[in-house]
Amino acid sequence: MTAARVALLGNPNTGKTSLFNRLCGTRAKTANFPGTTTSARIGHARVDGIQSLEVLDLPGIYELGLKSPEARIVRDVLSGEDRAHYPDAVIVIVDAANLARNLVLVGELLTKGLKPIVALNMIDVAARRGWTIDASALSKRLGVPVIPMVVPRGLGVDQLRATLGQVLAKKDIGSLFSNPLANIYDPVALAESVMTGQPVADALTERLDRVLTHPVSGLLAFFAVMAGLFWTLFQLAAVPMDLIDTTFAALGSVVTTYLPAGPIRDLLANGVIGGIAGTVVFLPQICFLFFLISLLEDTGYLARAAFVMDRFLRPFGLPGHAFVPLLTSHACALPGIMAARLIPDRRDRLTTILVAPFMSCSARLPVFALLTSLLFVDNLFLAGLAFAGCFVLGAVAAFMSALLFSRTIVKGRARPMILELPSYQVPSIRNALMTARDQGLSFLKTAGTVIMAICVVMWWLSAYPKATPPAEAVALRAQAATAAPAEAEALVARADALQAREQQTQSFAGRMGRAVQPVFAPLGYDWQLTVGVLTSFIAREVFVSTMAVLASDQSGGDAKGVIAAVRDMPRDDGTPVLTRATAASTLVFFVLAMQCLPTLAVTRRETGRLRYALLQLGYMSGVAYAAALIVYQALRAAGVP
Amino acid sequence: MSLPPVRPVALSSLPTGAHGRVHEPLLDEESTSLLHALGLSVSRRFKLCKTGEPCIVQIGATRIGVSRAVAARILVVPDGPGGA
Repeated sequence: MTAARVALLGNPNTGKTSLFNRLCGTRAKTANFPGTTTSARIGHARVDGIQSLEVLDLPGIYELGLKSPEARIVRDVLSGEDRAHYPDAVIVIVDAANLARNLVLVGELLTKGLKPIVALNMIDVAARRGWTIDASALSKRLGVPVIPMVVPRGLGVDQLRATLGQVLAKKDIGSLFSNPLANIYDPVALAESVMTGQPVADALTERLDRVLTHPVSGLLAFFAVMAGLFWTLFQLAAVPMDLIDTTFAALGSVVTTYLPAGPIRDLLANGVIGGIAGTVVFLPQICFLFFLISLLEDTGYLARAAFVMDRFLRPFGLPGHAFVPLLTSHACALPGIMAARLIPDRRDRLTTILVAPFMSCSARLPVFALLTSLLFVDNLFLAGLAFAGCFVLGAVAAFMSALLFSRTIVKGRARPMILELPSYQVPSIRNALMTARDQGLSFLKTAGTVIMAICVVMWWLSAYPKATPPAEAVALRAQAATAAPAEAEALVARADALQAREQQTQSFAGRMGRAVQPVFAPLGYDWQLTVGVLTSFIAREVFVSTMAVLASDQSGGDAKGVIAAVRDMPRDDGTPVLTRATAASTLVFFVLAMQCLPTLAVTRRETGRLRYALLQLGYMSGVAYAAALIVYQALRAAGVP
Repeated sequence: MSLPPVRPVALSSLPTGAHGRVHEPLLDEESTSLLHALGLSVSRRFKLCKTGEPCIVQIGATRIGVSRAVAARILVVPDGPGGA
């Protein structure tokens, strides 16, 4: 046989992913099942006699007959409805420590006339609980091969490969398959007939569950675990993120130094390299987050944590599982939205994705820092309070919006909290590494390409058409040519600043700012502030650099610093651009607005629908506009300048 | 003389450590199917490991967590005089 496909299925928490990784190693890719956002892992395994064996890792399900989307995918694959994934053989992985429950799925497969190979995993766990399972007797009763296994240690993997090779080559099949001897409709009796021993109570699980799901100690444990998770995430991700930043900055410098000035150099240095950097810089956070989440999930803790948080989040229409995505969004909404894959219910997942960008991410910090210091110039305490208030406002907006969404567009009955609490176990580093690699590649391939394209387009809008250098800048450069070196440097810097401002004003983005300004006039924004808001769609922190560039010709170069320069920026009529009322209105706008096109790209990918990305953009921008309008008009009415 | 049969009660009303059998889950079809798939089906024997939020039930070696609201809608027959 030259090419074949085997499907791997089983209940959740049975070690299916570990077996997939054992069989395929790193030879795996992730794709979506047709018409769904459920990802399928497809790998290639080596089996004697088969040149190319594709292994399809199906979603974990308890029963084929369930109404969940995952069960439908499995049914479609096994029935041939999904022709692209129809398998030549099926391996069903069974948890030996939960035999009766796992045999329900095996019974369903047999009833449908399928003859799976049963991978009887976790025989070591069953033994620790006092049970011995007679695999040979089970094989006879089911009429299919049963391979005892301990997948994390590789035990039984070779036998499974050999049996699989035999099944696919249809060699001596009679010795493997026969008619079932047992009543496959009674899994409890079937399990009991092949198990011997005296069950040993799992005292450790009992004790841990009492602590970890307790209203008080469970909450404390949860915050300790989350603090540890995010501290580790930031520690681990900071170094490669800095390295990526530095490397791409150096690469940009090399291009600027060695290529002649012109559009090609600009495109490469600022558009392409900037675009790649803007994508790759998120990669460490995404990989480390999924590495850590995978470790945590493997331990069995996340199911307990979901219960602990459910009582706090459920009143807002969010599930307990939403805590990790929402907390992650404080770092960056991109990994936050991707972390929503943890949420089993599609409706809950959608609500979480839609509101996650309200959580104040790190890209907003420079904007918050600039605007709060402008709001309370002489009062650091109030500036700090306003800064903290931004985070609170973002979180309140997220929870209130979740409540609204759960009662309107993602309406439906909340799924009651029913979860299997898997046994506590030592996590698999190997699985976590594979997960991090898969998620990182998936991000680069899909969202990454879109994000890069967006960065290039936004760069182009800001860089073109090229503005003629202003007369003052030309004069300063002429003056610099004859001046002493120190003075010449200052003159050139001033000329550069003037030219940058002219470029910003004359660019497509600048022109759009002027055209759109009337829309933002009720919020107190002039054209400069409008340009700042529009360019911040590349990334929010771009607002600070845009405003700094626009303020530069009034600031006298770098003598005053960014904050002072932006504070003193005049409008065309000479009044300040950022009064207290406009600063407050802009701050509220930045807390609530969806000014992150990469986030929209990821929302579109994770929800599988463009309309949800557009809804997120429209809804958040609308809320931000309305809130900023109320703040500005209320402050003006109260006499605040 | 035989003891009168024990009347079904809500799972949430049992004390920690109680044993019993599932009588009837008064839940929607999807939740009932999920409980069934997890092993908590009519007549299955269980042990209540923890009460409150969540309520933790053990069937065989499977531990299932259900919210208090769900536990209140699962009718069970506790072990005991006339019940076991």
